[in-house]
Amino acid sequence: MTAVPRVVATPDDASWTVRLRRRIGGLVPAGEALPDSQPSYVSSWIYVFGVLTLAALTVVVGSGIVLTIGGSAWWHVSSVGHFVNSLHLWSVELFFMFMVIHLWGKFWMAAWRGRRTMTWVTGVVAFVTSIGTAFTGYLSQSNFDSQWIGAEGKDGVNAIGVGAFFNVLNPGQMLLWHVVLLPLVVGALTVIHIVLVRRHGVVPPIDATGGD
Amino acid sequence: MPVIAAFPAWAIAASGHYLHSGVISVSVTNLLIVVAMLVLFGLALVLPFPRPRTTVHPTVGPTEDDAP
Repeated sequence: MTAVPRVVATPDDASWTVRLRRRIGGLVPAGEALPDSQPSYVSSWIYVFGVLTLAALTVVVGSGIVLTIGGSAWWHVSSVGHFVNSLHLWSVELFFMFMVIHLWGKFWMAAWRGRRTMTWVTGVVAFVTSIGTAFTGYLSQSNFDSQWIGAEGKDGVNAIGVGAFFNVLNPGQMLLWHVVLLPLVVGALTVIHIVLVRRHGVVPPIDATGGD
Repeated sequence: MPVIAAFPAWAIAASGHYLHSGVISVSVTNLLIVVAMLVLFGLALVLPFPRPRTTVHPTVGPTEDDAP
């Protein structure tokens, strides 16, 4: 079998794929994308809640995909649908519980130190966006609970001037926000947040020294 | 007839118990969850973490961004 010669772009006329590859390769320092060791101060339970939040989000998305395939008529009437519906709800409960404890820990260790401002900001925005995603989820239950929440929430949403394009009394619109738009935003923010954590490293305790 | 009397006893019982203090109103369930989260947060700070099986890398630590 003869070798096929490959045309390799020189640095001067590098194609967009080469530039993109370099850009992606330079996002995090070498070996930090999937590290096999961490600073000794990471050996604390408080550092576990970030990855617990990520694990809960994985279950949220997975159970949400199954609910999307089955549809509301399925999750209301079948026993498996009830189970997946409950799995979705309780993974969301754990997601928020872990995320808030993660937030408390990072707040009290001033996790924005060491040029980690954007790491902190993307975490805060992801938290706020997650609240909106959960809200549209409660509006998408297609039961009396979702009707009551929509009726109670409409005046507040209208009062801040977004009711024209975010109508909580429109279950179809709320369902699409819940399963498409907001998950995309939360997912993108989560990826950026994790890349920034790997780029700048896990924030050390305030009194940590170089030998820690 | 008071509005609350129009509801059956089981519906009132199922609506949950609420605690009020001024403008603050919280259900007992939510209060218990918040307390559980605070306990979990406290335990995470004080409970010892299992020792790593591998040796500690002395070179891994705060980055140069963390220099004071």
